[in-house]
Amino acid sequence: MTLLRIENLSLSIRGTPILKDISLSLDEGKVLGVIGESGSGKSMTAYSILQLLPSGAVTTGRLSVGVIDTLDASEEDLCKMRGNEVSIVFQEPMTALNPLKNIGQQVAESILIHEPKTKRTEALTRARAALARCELPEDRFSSSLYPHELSGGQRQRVIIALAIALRPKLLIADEPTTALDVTTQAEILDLLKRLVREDGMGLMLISHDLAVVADIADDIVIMKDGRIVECGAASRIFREMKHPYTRALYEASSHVPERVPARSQTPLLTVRDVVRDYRMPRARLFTKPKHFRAVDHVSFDIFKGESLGLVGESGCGKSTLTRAILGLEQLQGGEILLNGTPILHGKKVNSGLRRQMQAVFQDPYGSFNPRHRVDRLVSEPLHLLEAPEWRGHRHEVVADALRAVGLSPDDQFKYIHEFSGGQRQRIAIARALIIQPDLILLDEATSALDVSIRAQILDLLASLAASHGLTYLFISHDLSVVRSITDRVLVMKSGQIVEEGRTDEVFENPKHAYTKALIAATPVLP
Amino acid sequence: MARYFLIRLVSLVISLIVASVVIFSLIEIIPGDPAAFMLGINAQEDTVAALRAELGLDVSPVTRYFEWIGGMMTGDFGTSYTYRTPVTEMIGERLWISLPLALIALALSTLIAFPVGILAASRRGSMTDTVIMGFTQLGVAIPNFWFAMLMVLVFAINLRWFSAGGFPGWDEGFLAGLKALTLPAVSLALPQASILARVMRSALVDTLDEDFMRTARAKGLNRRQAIWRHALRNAMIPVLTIIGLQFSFLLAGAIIIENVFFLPGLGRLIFQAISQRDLIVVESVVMLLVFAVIVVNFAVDIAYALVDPRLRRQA
Repeated sequence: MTLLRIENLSLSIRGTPILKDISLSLDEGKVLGVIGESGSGKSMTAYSILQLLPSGAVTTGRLSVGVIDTLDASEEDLCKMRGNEVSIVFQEPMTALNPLKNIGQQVAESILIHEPKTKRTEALTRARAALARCELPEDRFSSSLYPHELSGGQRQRVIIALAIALRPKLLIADEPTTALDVTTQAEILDLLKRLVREDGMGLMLISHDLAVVADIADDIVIMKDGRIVECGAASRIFREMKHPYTRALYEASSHVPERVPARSQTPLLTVRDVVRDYRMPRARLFTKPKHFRAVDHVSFDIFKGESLGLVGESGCGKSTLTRAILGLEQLQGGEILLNGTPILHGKKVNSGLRRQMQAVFQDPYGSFNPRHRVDRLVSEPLHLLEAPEWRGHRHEVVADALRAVGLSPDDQFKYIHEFSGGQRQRIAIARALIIQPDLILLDEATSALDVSIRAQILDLLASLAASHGLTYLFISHDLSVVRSITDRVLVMKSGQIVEEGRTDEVFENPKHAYTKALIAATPVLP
Repeated sequence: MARYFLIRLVSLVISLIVASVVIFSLIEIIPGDPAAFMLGINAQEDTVAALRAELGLDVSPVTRYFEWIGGMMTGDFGTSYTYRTPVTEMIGERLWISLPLALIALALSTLIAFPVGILAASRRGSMTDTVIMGFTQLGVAIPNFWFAMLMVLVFAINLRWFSAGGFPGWDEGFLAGLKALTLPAVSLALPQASILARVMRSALVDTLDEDFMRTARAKGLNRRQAIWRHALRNAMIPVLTIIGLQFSFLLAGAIIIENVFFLPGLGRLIFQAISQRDLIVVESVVMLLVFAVIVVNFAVDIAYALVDPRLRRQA
């Protein structure tokens, strides 16, 4: 039976068209994958189904869930439908739960709101059952826990539990695993698959990640700029790829930039036996505080001209290690040398070394001061240079850096909000390039980008490495990206390097159990 | 939670000790000998010395500090230099006016601010919001003594519903006392309510944008239920902070309003005591106010932890 039917749905918000003529349908027990890049309207399609749209939204067309016509339904009927007939799981598990209520209360609320006659204790019992179905059994995860006491994957399970507590007919999952590690992602996808099978639900799985959807969907819809460009059975779509955008998306997802191996035998960065401990809060008033070892006797070298990958899941210590290399962490043991000189001079960073090393971070939106113009943002590292040779012709230096990353020299007179995410990441790379460093640390530098933009940035990084003789340390949780751009890879777990080797060897023939698990959990394109 | 409570309690005691030392030292440094001041400029030196001995000013400051603290612990604040009456009695009388006044004003302020702030936040950007924010802006801007005089003019002189000032004493009956405190409490509450309403609104507006509010709506809660069950408690932390600050301010800062309405409250007592070099009264009233501020802060800290489970586990 058809569960969800959308016909010629258009949506505009305060006059701006967002969705144009969307038509799709979903049957009971089936999985519909909705794929698109940011701004394609895939989340807005989901919000239209629930009628949880921002103010000023105008919808036309037809949209029905079972027998309810949601575009015409009263707010009261919609409230009865939400959480009962149709539920949704959001992307951000860290913030999607109320921090002040325990997880049992939050799941029980879903039940109480739709069945007000239910006794509170009975609702809690049912909430525990729902949590247990989502693999949070009461004996290990008490329902009196608060969200801050759980990890991201566990919180996502709570959100799924409160979505399925009343066994809805339709479940919408909006990028449910994007914020999670690969192994957790695989577990959550398995959980969703199982629930669909057990309850005969319809699942609408929204994602930017082709591989995630390809693995689980029966049908696939591909969206671009508010339109559906291609739809059909999953098995057929990837085989035929009729629309050029589908093909482009597919190619971008598996894009491997062309690179010239340029590794020399001289080590540029040497990390030797590095230890970083954090002091934990005291368990009791007069006990000694315990320590948490974030980086545990880590040693490796990066050779000149090489691209080295560092992979691991959240909390494995890779960010701490990155910060230590940048001289932002005090070490409890070991040393880090750049070109043979220690990074830290006492408690301070060795100033001469700062110019030899730059970093590009994940968030292209948060890592720029919005009140400064691009010329100032990009030229900031110039102050690390001792000789002020750039004085007087700062604009030319900035123009060169912008040209190197594929932007126009005139872009330096704009402000950062005038650029898209991909352009901002190019600006971040320009900022790193401007003082001609030897080493660039790329900390999840492509993780927040759409696949097509990510492919372009990877190409840019590859060509810059060749033209500028750069060495990269590429830190990421995304194995496919690391595989495409690095020569050698380190796998990190619980503060230790568990496996190290040539990238192709490690990926094809992993030795350590953890590396094997990581690779197995990574979704692959058909 | 017990550990959090204990740590706050220890910090309360330390704050009190530090505050008492600072207050005592400040009063010591201030120039002007109370004995000399009381006897006038033509006084004989031995007369002054005799008075100093009588007032207990001839012993060392350290001894006097401990006598002062010890006295306060047993409810004995010493004797006023000027009036020769026990300070405890003087403060007690005044406190019975200032404390109810502050409590009524705070209750009024909260009762006005909560619904107004919630209404404005839930209709953010609407006409209602604009009008409410306009009024609260006005409420913050108007000096409360001017508003107090306006109220006297309207409600005491024209309508004759209330008396223009003075306090009959609680002996005249609870209602008579309450009536005398109504106009002053309203004048005090107006700017506080305006500030609190604005804080309430902005805290709630921030909370309404949180992801968990979207989750709440997706569960099937309507807008009102989502605000009451999920947003309000999350918006409480900044609001509690402001309420704590306002109570301390209302207790001690009512001096202008006390003057407009001829109320013999703590504010007027400390003002008179300072102008008459009645240092022991100044010392005691200031210590009392500091005590109130610290205790209120302690209460606010505990309230934070009751509201937010994340704070209970931290030191």
